[in-house]
Amino acid sequence: MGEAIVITSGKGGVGKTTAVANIGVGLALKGYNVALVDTDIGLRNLDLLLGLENRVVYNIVDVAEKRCQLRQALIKDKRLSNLYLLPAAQTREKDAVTREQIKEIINILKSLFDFVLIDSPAGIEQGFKNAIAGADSSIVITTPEVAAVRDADRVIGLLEANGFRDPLLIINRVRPEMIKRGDMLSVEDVLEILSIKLLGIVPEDEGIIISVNKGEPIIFNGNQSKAGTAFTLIVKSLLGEKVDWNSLFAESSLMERLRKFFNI
Amino acid sequence: MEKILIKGDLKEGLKIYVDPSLNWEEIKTALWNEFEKNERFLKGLYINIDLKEIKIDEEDWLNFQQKIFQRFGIILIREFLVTKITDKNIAQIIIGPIRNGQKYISKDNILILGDINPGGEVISEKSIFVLGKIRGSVYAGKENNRKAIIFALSLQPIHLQIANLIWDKEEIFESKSGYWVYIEDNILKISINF
Repeated sequence: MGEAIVITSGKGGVGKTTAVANIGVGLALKGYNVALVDTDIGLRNLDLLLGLENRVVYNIVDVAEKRCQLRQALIKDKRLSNLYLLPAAQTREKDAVTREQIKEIINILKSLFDFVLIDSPAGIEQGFKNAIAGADSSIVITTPEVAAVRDADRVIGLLEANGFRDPLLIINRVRPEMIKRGDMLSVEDVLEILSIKLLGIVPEDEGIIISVNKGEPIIFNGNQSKAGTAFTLIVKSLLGEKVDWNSLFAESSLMERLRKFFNI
Repeated sequence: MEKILIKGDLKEGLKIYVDPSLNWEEIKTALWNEFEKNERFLKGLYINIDLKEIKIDEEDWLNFQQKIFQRFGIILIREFLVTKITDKNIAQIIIGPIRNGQKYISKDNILILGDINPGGEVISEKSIFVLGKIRGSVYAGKENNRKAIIFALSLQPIHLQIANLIWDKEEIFESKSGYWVYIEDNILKISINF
């Protein structure tokens, strides 16, 4: 039985879909069978980030309404044969599926894949409630900004109320120079408020924009990009492997402060 | 029952039991008479007296104790039995952090182990104690309980209120040992001790 992980944030635009795409690819590169599920019905993006938008025939609503089989809706990635996408519907809305329907689909996917990554929409309404249905664990994405952290705090409260005991945190779009200048919340500031376990951090990287436009998750660039390196390390961390975060940041002062979070 | 009953022996110690229907004045008179009767035996002794839960003014008791000692040489010791707590002081204990969007309301005192994050709210008809940072909203003494207090290790509140008084000043001084918030002279005050 595979593990279903929902990736959510509360705030929009902090990098959920990017994280799902890159972590999904990262797990697949390690040999695991991975399914990515886009539950952002009406505003789907995951297919775009994977460069698979031309291959969408059926979507999650079609499956829920039994217009097609699940395997007909699953799209195989063009680069990795062990990575699949279940896209969202674009012409419907968040109430097009129920929690029970999502749960059923996730359960089937869990029996077929090692990892099922669920991309949640922004917000805390029906879309979010659907996305968490059927998930075993959760990852919360935030950026080091007050508004994002407030929303993340809200979402963590809701996750805990829904039985998710240990949500993991990814802090995205970190800018070490700004933190050094005191112009940006530090990792410690964020963790002090959110009080959950840190899975990893991803530095601000222009390469992300390019990778989204090209439909090629940045993790494929490996060590050539900071964000790609970060996602590689996050995947390792998720799998419980030993991680050397030194390769990520040149600034030793930042590394020193991060040491205690990563038990280096 | 006898007004005064002296029990025990000189080896184990003596204890005086009083008739619970007597009031304090009557007890004093009865004791005085009893001691007068047995002055010779009792001189120089420590005697415990069980006055149960009779409310006696502290000064009055000390004066009486002194007078007895001066007149009879008897050291009278009032026994304080650990009886039931007459005023129940219950606190709901909550392990924080209290997150954005979470709200706790109680008629009792509340003890938070952890922080109250911005957007979190804690409301009590009694006092609120926070072993952490108040970054959210705290309202103690709801229903006009002006005796309620608030304690926190760190104060950066969005909203701070006791009864009908709301903290409206921007600056809160620095403290390394925590903050007590209370009403005194009809003003909401914050200080480092209480």
